[in-house]
Amino acid sequence: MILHCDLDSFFVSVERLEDPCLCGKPVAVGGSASGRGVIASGSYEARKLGIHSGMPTAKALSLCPDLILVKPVFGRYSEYSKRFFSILKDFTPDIQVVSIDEAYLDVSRVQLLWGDAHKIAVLIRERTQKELGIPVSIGIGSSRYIAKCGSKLAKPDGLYVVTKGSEEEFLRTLEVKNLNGVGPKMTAKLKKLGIYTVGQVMLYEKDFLEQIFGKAGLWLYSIAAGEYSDSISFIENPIPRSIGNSRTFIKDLPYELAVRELRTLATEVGRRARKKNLFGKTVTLKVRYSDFSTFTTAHTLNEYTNFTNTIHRAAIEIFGKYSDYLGKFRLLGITLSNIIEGSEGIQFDLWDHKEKEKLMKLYNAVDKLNEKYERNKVIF
Amino acid sequence: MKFKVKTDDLRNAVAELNTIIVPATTYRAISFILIKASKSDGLILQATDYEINLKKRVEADVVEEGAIGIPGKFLNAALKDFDEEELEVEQTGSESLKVNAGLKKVTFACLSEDEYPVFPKFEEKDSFVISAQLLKENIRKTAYAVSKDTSNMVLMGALWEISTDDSLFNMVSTDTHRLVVNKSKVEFQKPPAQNLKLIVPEKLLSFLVSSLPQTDVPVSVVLPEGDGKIAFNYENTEIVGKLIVGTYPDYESIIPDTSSMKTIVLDRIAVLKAIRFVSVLAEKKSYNVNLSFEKDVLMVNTDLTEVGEAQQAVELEDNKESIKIIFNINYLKEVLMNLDEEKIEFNFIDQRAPVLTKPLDSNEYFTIIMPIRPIE
Repeated sequence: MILHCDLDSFFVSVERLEDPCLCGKPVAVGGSASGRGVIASGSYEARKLGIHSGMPTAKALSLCPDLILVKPVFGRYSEYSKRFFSILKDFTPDIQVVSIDEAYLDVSRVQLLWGDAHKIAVLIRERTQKELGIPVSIGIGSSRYIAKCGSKLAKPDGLYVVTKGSEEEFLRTLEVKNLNGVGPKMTAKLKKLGIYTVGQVMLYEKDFLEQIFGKAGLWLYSIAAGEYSDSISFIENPIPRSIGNSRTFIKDLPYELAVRELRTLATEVGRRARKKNLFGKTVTLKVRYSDFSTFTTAHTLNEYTNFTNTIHRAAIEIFGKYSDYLGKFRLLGITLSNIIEGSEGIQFDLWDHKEKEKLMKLYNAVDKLNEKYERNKVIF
Repeated sequence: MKFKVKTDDLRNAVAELNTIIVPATTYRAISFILIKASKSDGLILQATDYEINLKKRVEADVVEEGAIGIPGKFLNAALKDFDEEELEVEQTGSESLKVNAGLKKVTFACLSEDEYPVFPKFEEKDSFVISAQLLKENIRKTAYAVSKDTSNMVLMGALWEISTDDSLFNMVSTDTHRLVVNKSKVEFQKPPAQNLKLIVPEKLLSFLVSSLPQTDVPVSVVLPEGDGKIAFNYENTEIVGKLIVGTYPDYESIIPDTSSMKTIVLDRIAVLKAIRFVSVLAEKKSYNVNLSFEKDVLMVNTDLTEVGEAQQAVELEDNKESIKIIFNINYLKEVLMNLDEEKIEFNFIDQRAPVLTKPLDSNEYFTIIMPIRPIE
């Protein structure tokens, strides 16, 4: 059986531990409204007022003037996150971390040790509450998809079990809005068609759903028909397909100022790649103009790298073709993809291998300093 | 145009010309072979892909002179099936040509001579003459390491360096991960007037390896006035190709001093066989092979992947060194395949520094390979 464990309004919960005055009030963690901040996480009190993550902070404050806005302190969250995952790892090594506050656990191998899935879920909830002080909601199911839908129903601070064999019944009566992957817009559209539960999806033809919703329609149909795939295996730390960092500027920037931001973005991408011992060959630059039109350009290098400088140079070269643009830039992002693991070894070349060895040492030192003091304080 | 020709003569020439022509693309003419018949010279056949121009002379009994382009692919295919000794060829219209022998007859839709690209003409600046076999052999030993990376044009060819004072003919190629150097003292039948440095593109190199005869026939290599071209004349063949213009990287600077390296002597074939064996589980085109030397045994193995792992031990004679070093399997395989000698030297410093391989007790021909750098 699979457990999907998801910490409740994680960022807010952490902030409430730091400042108990925040308890019981509409609280949101997010960027400032004067800049272009968005809400990262909202308390349940705030959610009731229509605030959701991803919403611009300015809009959230206009919806709810009493909202208490807390500036995020990311170092704090990763600390709690690490402690949460180490609790989970005490129960089983078959864990797949999905994000900073959620993970799937395959408990099939450890049921003799701890008892059945329900018992394990109860133990996890007890320990997390006791050691972290944060409520965790858990969904139990025979597949990850079902478990994830379960945890959505379990929130806040609950446990939802879909026993083996009852998946069909569970899905048939499940409200579409609780289906993982269906957002408010799709829910509204489905409502117009008279579809409230997943079972009702089957009232319509597959082709019709595709016409209305495109690929999402086909996906919805297959879920309703019980064909949800669960093929990804439990690998402890799967290799990410890309490492990216993007930034919306506080104020739109002209080319000469925007180009300077590439250094910061490349520094972060390089740092993260090196931390995971990953190397990439393709650098992609994402550019968004003031009018929100967005372009991406990829450039494939002739070698694998995780050196900030190399990534930066490639990004500058791509950005060069925007130098004639007279308008302003709203967002820039750099992504490193075509990823391989450093543990497989890297092919250096005959002419610059000595140089690369030196750079590796240098980046090693830079990374250590940044880890010790403040992220990206030392830039190279 | 009308002539009689020996089937074998025409077939062999057309087969060689056919390796150059490209199927009709944007420019249709280069999918044709041009045939010129004259009473004095017999037949002159030409093909080009704009990079290599090839001209072959074939003896024939020419009754009526003329010139016409014949679709190369179809002419080549048709000639394979003529088992008669002699062919009769006759132009039947401004754009058609008939070939017949015995009970067979084929008529091709042709191209008029005016539409065919002109064979390059030039004034000679310098030239040298060398044995075909020697040239062929030296090209074969070095061409395999030429780079395929289009972002650095100069490496897409081999460097030819001729020094007239000491009759040295060096051929060098690299894709930056390995470097092959062949420094041979050559007896030129005619040396060039001055020292030369040329970059010969890979396509021309492989064409020469397949076309040059395995005999001592003299090949006259001509460098025209103005840069960028090279011509080869031998027997009934003339080849004009393009050179790569640019500055080749300084390769001497990266050649390690073997006196400061440790040496292990290897049985080339045994190691090659072991590498072939461990590659049975390879899923990817390019992957790593680990060589672990320990006293009298070399362990060759691939890393454990989803499909498994493979290893083979190779016995070593009198070895005192021990090291583990990782290579891209293709690089190592090609290096070993292109050496001819049984015993070779494996010279190394550590697992991060370039490795130099060469035949035992020879400094003429060697290869430097950059190992894979392990990153923990």
